[in-house]
Amino acid sequence: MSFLAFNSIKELSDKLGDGSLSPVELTGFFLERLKLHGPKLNAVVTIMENRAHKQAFKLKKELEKGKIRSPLHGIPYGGKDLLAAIGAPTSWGAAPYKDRVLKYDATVVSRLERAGAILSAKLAMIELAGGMGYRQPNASFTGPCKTPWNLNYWSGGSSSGSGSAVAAGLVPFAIGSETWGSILSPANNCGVSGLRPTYGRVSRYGAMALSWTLDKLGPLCQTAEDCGLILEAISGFDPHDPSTTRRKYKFETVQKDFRVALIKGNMIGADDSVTKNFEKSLKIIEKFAIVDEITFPEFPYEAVTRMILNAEAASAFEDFIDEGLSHQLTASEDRYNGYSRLTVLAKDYLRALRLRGKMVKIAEEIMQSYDAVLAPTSKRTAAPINQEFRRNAPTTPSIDITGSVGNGAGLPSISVPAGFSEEGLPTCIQFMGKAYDENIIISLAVEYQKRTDWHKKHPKEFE
Amino acid sequence: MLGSKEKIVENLSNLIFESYGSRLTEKEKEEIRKSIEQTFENSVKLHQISLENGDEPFSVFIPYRKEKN
Repeated sequence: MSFLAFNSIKELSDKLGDGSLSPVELTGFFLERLKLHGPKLNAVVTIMENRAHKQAFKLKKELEKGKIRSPLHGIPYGGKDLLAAIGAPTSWGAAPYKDRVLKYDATVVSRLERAGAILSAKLAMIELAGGMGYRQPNASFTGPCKTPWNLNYWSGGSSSGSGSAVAAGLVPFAIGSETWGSILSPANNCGVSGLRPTYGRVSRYGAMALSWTLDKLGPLCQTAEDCGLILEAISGFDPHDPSTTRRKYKFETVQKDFRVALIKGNMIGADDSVTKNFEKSLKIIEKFAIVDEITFPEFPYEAVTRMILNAEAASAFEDFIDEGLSHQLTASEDRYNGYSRLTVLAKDYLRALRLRGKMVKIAEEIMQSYDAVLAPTSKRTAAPINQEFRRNAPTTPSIDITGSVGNGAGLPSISVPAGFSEEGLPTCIQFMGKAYDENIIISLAVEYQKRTDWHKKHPKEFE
Repeated sequence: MLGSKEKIVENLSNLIFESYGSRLTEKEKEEIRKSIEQTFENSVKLHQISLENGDEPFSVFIPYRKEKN
């Protein structure tokens, strides 16, 4: 059965549909992999065996009666442990909450259940989704999460377990969250496909809040196409989350003459392997898209998004800090970093929100003639598990435009694997689109994956 | 921005130390001060872009009515 570990959702769905596999068998298979490999990677917080088995039996009976809820019927998955779910603690990756139980399902969890997906595990994450400004992989009560490609290197974060578990074939897909980089970073370090949807596309009800106007939930999967299937299941208006859009989303690939843009100077400070693989990817992309170079004007993109994040995080965790709970966190810097944010002035926060209005218009205008901005997902491969990121950071100063504009303006982005470094660590590319253009960026990623096989390579130790 | 960086950072740091200082080591206090300094520098960057009176925060308040089923 090991061949199932890295099947796409479509492949698994076909097997479930033709009766060659049952939801009970498939769930049992992935639960065993979670138990066997999860601890090696520090990727799993709680295996939800009872809930998963119960759901699998129910879905098996439905299949026997010819009822298929959706392409996700009978597909197991893992959720980042900031999603409330009945049947397991919801820790937010933080020691003070490791036994805390929330007795309801997040909207994402209930929507996936409605679509027939089976919640099988709560997955590891950086404590409070990085809300205290962590600077090292060891920032979770479950220990530093590892990329399955080399256990001496970090999985990325804050959706650490979501990236690692999908890359190791412990679940067919996982849900992560991103405020600034938390889906794309583990997608990059673990070499899987990861989608950050447009802000407001997916309800955050039942998910930990870090920054109300920046937080997004999205999938990490084996393929770009799988990301579209998951987004269709989890998107849509939710009265419990006032940020959710009433625009309906249906996944479909788009055929058109694509135009993508490179940001001038965006490779400054990139690793040689990232640059080399990006250039190879570019040659492939030029076969199905026109590629131009663009320039983003001078603007304090990072300062705007950082100020919003810091101010909102300070408020979201004010009580946590007041109660002294931050001193129980794992990373030493997370125990005190939160205090400084309590001094963000209201006038600065509001100025950042006002400048955000200018930033979104700059992004819209520059991207107007393009389907996506193409960039490396990260300029660096995964950091060693025992080092602070800043020691591993580029020595040449550079601006994270895709991160600051992408998150500050709430734009969608999809990351897909694009090669490996000499050390065997994945490098990835991202297509960042205009708001609500998920189908376009997914289609670009699908076209790229039709012409490459990086997404079909898997870490040998877990095959 | 009016006021010296050092004085503003010192005052904001003291605000934290007044409330939470007993929980913090000297090293932690120094890290907090550095972090407040970074926030100040971000604030300076934000003030390099001019805004008009009508440039509203890009988040809209919506008066609430419960939806009828």
